[in-house]
Amino acid sequence: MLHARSYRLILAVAVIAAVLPLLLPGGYALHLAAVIGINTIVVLGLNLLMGYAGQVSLGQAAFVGIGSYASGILAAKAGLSPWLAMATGVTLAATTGAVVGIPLLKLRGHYLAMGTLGFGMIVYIVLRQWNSLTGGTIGIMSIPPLTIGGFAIDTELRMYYFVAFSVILALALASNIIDSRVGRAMRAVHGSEVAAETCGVHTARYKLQVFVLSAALAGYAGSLHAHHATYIHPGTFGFQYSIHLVVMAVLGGMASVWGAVFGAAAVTLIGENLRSFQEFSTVAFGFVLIVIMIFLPAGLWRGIGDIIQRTARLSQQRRRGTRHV
Amino acid sequence: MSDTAVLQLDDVVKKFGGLTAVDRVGFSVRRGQIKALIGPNGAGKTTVFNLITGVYNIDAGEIRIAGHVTSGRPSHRIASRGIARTFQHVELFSNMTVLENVMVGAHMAATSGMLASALHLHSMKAQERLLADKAASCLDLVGLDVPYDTDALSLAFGQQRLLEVARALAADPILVLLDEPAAGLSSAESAQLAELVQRIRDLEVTVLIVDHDMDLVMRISDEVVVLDHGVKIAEGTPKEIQANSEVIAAYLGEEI
Repeated sequence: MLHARSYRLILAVAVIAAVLPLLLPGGYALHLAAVIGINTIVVLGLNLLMGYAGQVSLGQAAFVGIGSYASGILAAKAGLSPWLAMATGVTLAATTGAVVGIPLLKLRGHYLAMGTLGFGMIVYIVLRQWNSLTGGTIGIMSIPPLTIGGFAIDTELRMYYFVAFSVILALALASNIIDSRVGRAMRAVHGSEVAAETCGVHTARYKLQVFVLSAALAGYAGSLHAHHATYIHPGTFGFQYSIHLVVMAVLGGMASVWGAVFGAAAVTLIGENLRSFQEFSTVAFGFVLIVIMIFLPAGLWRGIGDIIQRTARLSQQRRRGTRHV
Repeated sequence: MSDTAVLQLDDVVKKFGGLTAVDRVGFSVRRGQIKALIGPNGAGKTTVFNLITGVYNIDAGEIRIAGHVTSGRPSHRIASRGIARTFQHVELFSNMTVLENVMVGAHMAATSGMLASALHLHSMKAQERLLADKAASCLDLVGLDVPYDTDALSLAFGQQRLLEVARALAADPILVLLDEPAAGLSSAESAQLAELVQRIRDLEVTVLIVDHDMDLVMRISDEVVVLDHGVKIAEGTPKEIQANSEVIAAYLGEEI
């Protein structure tokens, strides 16, 4: 089937990820690369949910926050092993996804967007106000790094490689799912819910499954963030981050696993480079997005692919043209 | 089991606000039949299909499939009783290929879940091959000769209709509901369709068809049910229906 192509792409990403640190100027670039990787994992889940299954979430930051805080609180305050804290964070994010997903996914379109938006706000407020547990606006400090048998993932380079490994794993899982019975059922829900049901597809179940999966991926990314940053605070997991995640998914290309990498990289880097605009950075950010969506409406991944194909065709025509002259 | 009707509707009622779209309609479809449901526009034919397949819930009455009460059950449960359908306005899965569309039709023939799919377990690969083979044979059966990886929505209209029929057959149904399969087809395509419907029946799949093409309906059907304003006004063989004065009145001015 199509898998050979997917595996080649994954291999290509792995090779690029392996040599990237040699090309990057230094610690801060590595740090950014890890942040991009963490965002990519969330966007992958969001892309499965929105791009493939057609269900909107404007509250994805909440799941990242839940994973982050569970990991941070358990590892820094309760002294649990970071791995156990991470596993708990992912489980908690997934469980929350199931609990809120059952009622929320009965909503459609704009109503689902509003519902998930509300959920995101509730979680944000809980993180900010539950002082005794979450440290309120100050957050959680001194979160210990992940360690593999005495080997601490505590430098930017080590964290980068661990994140890169996670991204590649997530990419492989996501592309496997898309190209399977479950993936087709998910995409069928997007195409026509009525037709999917009459084919025997339990649409509510698949919607919930992909919602829980996206929550688990977000929770995992959140946990990575906690052990990477070693300090977390509620401001990170607000409405703006949810919107940025959606923008990453749309900008990279809906219904495209590889678009997630591009979208996460583009939005993270644009955000970094617009810092000099200070309070105008949001305006500049919006402007860049408008320009990209006008010229590459299918997203970066497909858009760039199309441009390469078109130029190749043009140069081929030109070559043929000169031969005739 | 042999005398059990494949499909049985008893006094089925459906109201939309103040409008009674389907008013105490009852009929049955016997195994191996081609049965047609006809009537003027707005007679409630598509509504009946939506009630049978659980897209709408009935307000009163009962629907049974092979003896099992299915009214009130969700669509996907009804589908698992062996009912498949096509849609008046083609409902293909966009962003999916021709083969993938039909593979969704065969969804119930496999069981692999999220974990098996994510990890591409061996058991799942075998099931994938089974689904792909089944889909390919259904495409072959309906005579849709296009590359499997063609984007479904890029097909010509007549081909999209055939693709929907293939998707319905992939579910291995005991009964197929065809909602205006000939609408928008050329006369040559329509003739091919008539032949296809008969081929489906020869596979021991019972057919219930809604269509406005009276030539087609009268030629291929064993029995015809006529609806008008949500009420059943006649039921019988094509000959009987063509001679029925009430039917002629309902279709006033239209030749049947």
